Amino acid sequence: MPGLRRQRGLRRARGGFSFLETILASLLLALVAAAMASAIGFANNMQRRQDARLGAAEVANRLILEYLLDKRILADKPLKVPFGDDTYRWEISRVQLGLQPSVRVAEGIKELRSSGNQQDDLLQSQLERVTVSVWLSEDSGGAMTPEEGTPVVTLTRLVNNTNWNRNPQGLKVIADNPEIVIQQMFNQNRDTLGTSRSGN
Amino acid sequence: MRRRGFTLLEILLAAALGSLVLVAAMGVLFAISRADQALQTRVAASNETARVQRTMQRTFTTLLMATGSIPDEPEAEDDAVDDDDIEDSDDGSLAAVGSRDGDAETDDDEADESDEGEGDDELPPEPADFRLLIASDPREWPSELAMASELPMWTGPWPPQRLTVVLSSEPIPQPLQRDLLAEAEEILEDAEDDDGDEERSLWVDELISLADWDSDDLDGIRGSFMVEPDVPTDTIGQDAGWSLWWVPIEAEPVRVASGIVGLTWAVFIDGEFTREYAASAAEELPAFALTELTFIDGRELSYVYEIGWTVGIEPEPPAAPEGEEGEGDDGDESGDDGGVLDAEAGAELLQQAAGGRE
Repeated sequence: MPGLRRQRGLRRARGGFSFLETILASLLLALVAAAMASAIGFANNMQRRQDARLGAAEVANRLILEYLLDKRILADKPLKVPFGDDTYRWEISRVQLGLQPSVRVAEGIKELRSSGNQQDDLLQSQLERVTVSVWLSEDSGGAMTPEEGTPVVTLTRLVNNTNWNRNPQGLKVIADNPEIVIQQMFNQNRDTLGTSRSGN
Repeated sequence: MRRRGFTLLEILLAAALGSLVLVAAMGVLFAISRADQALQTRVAASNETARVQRTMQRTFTTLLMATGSIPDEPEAEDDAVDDDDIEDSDDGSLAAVGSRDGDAETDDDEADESDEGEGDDELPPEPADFRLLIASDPREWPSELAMASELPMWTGPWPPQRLTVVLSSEPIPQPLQRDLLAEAEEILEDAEDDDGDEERSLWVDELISLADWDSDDLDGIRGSFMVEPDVPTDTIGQDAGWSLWWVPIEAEPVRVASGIVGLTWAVFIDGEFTREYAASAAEELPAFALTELTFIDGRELSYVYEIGWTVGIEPEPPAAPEGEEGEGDDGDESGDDGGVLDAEAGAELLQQAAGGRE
């Protein structure tokens, strides 16, 4: 049986891994390690983004509350706001809302106008739509503008400008500065398109 | 044909390889288990955070205010109490907060003067007169130095603050309250098994036994948010810190959050935040309220809430059953003998019994 003996000898001689096997194994290991590192990095990044979004939401909430208390406050507020370990940029836009008349009301208005009563501001709304957007600033890994991928939160609130008694402190601000009311009424008649202040 | 067995070397190698595989498998299992536990802790922490946020939001938007200011009207230019005034007072007590209404200094001499000189018809405001009260917890606390060795770590203002409010509805939704009470009972059971924590469990025990009656028929609720040292437990998965409790006069206390190491309440009034404040009528309300919490695991919460209120009469607690009248006069109520209180005794008990130290 010399042939069989030679085969056994060959098998015994073939110990260890071939070069190809080693490369393949390394490649597989590297792939697994890369996938795991990527997953961990993704999870950490998501966590960081979530924290940043929560921070942005709270900053937006505070900005709206400040605006409700005294509309002049935000005009002087820095465009970068520190909160926690991060800084955030913000922008605010205000739009005066108009009311869309129903068919019946529209006919009534038409009748009024035909009778010579020119009340163009009949449906002038006292409502204002205030929108605040807050995003992570470039100092904290965000951007100067709310680009895609930047943690950003937008809060919108309808404000009734004639509700002076929204907050006792707000009433106090108005009592101390009655010009606010006059200015607001003037602005309301002049500007129904909206104003904004941008932090970028 | 004789069958060849394994050599010693082969067996040893196989055993070593098998052990390695087992160890690796166990390691992976433990890692998964740890990750699962960490995830659960994180979810619990996230839920707790949301619970605190919701609870404080409900609290500050459902204030039930009085129709007018308390009789002792504040002097116009001194609306807010300076922190210095509070720190200078002997006990950092509610009297200092009452001092917003004209007697800001709380030195003994001045207190005596006001007690003796003003006559009986002008009593200083009591804590129970206020509908929103943020002040240092008036219980006896160890000094800041002693606190470090006697109590869990605390990084907030010392002594801890207490927030007392009258609300038009429960700050914690009923289903959530039931869950939290069940959790508290579980913690108490754990604590009873541990002899070393008897004293702490007593604190919580007294909180739980503060009152027994059903408050369903009441429209408004008076209660306090206050902190107590945690009962150490494994169920929360974190070291002992402090717990935030909602302690209504007419119902069972509910633990809102645990593992706290710092808590600050403040209100924004006259352009600045102040940590000591008292209000009775709606026109005295601040612009907004700030809640800051630091947890032992490093979480830091900072929320500002809009103030919302209605005006109404604070409901009286249920009357005492016959034969138990006058019980509130001796000041010895522990709250576990029927829990029937009048408004003043209730406020007093709220101050005393929650600590369980007197």
